[in-house]
Amino acid sequence: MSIRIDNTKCIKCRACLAICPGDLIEFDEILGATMDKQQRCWGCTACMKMCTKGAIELVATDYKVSSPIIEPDDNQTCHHRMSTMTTQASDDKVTWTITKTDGEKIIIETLKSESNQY
Amino acid sequence: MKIKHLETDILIIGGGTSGCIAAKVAAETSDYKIVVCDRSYIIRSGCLAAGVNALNAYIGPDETIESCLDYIKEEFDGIIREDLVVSILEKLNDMVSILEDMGLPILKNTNGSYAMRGKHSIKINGENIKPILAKPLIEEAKVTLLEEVYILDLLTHSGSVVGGIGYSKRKKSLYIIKAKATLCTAGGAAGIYLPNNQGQNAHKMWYSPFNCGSGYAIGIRAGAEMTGFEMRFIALRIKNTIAPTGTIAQSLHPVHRNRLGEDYLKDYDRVTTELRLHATTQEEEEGRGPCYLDTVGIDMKVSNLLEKAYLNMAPSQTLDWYDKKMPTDLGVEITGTEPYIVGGHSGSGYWVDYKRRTTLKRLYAAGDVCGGSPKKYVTGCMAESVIAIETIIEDLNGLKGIELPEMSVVEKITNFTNRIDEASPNDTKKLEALELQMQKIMDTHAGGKSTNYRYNSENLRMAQAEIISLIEITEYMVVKNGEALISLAELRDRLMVAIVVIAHLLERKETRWQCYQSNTDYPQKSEVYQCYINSRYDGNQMIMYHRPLVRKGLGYEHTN
Ligand SMILES: Cc1cc2nc3c(=O)[nH]c(=O)nc-3n(C[C@H](O)[C@H](O)[C@H](O)COP(=O)(O)OP(=O)(O)OC[C@H]3O[C@@H](n4cnc5c(N)ncnc54)[C@H](O)[C@@H]3O)c2cc1C
Ligand code: SF4
Ligand code: SF4
Repeated sequence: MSIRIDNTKCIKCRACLAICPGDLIEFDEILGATMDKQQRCWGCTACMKMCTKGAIELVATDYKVSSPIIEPDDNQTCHHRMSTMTTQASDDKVTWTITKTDGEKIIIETLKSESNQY
Repeated sequence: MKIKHLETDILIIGGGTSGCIAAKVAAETSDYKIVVCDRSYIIRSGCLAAGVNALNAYIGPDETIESCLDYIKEEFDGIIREDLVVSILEKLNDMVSILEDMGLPILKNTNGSYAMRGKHSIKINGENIKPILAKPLIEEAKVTLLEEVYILDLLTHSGSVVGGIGYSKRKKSLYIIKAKATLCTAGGAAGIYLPNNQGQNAHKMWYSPFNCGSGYAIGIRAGAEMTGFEMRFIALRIKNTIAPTGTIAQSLHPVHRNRLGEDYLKDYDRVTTELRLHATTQEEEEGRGPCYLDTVGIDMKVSNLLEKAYLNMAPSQTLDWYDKKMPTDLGVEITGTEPYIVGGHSGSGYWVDYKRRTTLKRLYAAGDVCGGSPKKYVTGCMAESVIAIETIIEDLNGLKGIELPEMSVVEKITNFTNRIDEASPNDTKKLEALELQMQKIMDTHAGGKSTNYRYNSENLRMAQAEIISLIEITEYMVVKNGEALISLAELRDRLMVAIVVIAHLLERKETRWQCYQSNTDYPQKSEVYQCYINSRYDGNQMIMYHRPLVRKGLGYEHTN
């Protein structure tokens, strides 16, 4: 499980750069934000919450020893093998969008002012 | 490489939970200059990056300091520093008020009291807890923030700690920070043992993979006394994502079932955290695993609330449920983690006096890095940090007028940062291989998950020899760039912690706790070890001490 950055969506705003607790995100003048240390990502989603463009997604994994992050490509079946999650954070809430392997989208909102019930 | 010199009154190493609150209190109650140094960015650094969803240490309406002390004592079979634990308990509920005042949402009952989760936890929305703690510091004029600076070592002079040396890979700079007092709040250690997941998922662990034990290692290298490194913390967590289970276990009280559908905890009359882990490990070992928290058939509404609770703390778990099976359809599979060294959960860390002074002059410790007082969690770490900073202010007031010594630090700098040589081959893979080698040795020979946490003296001696040879390899390793230098620093810190863990495991010749410390040469408890196991590294070897238990009301002070 790690994040993946979609550079076609990245507007190079740099908001996600100084946030990662492991300092894993780099910047490329041409591509924008990049992260190539998948094996070091904790999956904390701190970077995702900074991105207003939904360019960073968390990719699920089957937790086999070295299951690779599947890169987006033309092969849709390959791209959709794992569910993914993106976030939109605002001052009062975080909106989480999960895209399941069959393409179904689940949207969950967590309000910042509302405590967990559990 | 550029060298930057800084001078301050108080240096805080690690801007996590403990570091942030210490800086806030120091800024509010004194005029001292403060430098907070963190290896990453304090807005989301440390354990709290993704959030937490309960404050696990709170004295509820039906509890007292006395009853909480008894609970913690029972959980760790008496091997706790009662003086430290009581001093934390006395401040716990004030920390909750501070967090609420800073804007943390806490669930309330209709009568205005906090909604409890079990006896000692209160329910919050902790997704934003780290930004809440960090933001005031970013705006505070008395605080200089040094972010993305990895502390490599302490600066010492005539037996006192006088600051630290840090390295920034992005600014390609070395920082020499002189300070009149230094507070270590750099967290515990993950990644010493082979983690539950490997390869691409290696960092899907419970404890922060970015807390590499530096907080311990800098002190060990400088000769500080450490306690309880044999009291490893092993958590019962959700399989694969290694997300916390307390949210489900303490709210829904699901039955723990093995694959035969049996409630495997029902025959225990008293279930401690340690026993729950031990029982689960035993089920797996005897072929009755996998084990589950039986959530099948829970209400959809409940399931939706759980999904939200996890998004606010361990978001990968909610994604994993949607990717595979929902908790309404399949029980939540649980298993033991690799051993972590975490003073905020068990008792490993600096040996401190009642006021959180370490055995090194002018070095103080609090939070996960500080030993003797388990079950601190967020609020306990904060309470301890407030005690430490109050001591620092008191000590500095007494020192008024003292000047920081001029000193030569050339030796320390050349020791480590001169190891960058751009002509050397790209060694990332080599460093990764060495890290894996360390984790594997610890796993198979020092009581990792693959041996169901058991070990014996012969295994430990083999592990000791292998870890020493890894230390020797890394001692002379030259790396290509700053990035690799940080990886080397992480490995160096983890190896230092590993060697101390082994020394402590060798020294406690009994089995005091199942899983945490289970020695097959000495499978029983022994009265002789009704004490703390402490150690000090003198530059060549580990010197071990057995220290008598400190009971409440005694306020321990360093004497020898
Ligand atoms: C996943 C998870 C869930 C948890 N859930 C709960 C919960 O629900 N309730 C609860 O009460 N407690 C919970 N805890 C425990 C609690 O979060 C910790 O005990 C507490 O936050 C520790 O505080 P700390 O200041 O000691 O460490 P941290 O907050 O981790 O701070 C350590 C800091 O030191 C920095 N650092 C590390 N090495 C270096 C170096 N070499 N140089 C410079 N800086 C460095 C790190 O970047 C970090 O910012 C949880 C812990 C984890 C890991
Ligand atoms: S998910 Fe967390 S650990 Fe992973 S890159 Fe983003 S901020 Fe870093
Ligand atoms: S926050 Fe999003 S858009 Fe901005 S640089 Fe990062 S990935 Fe690109």
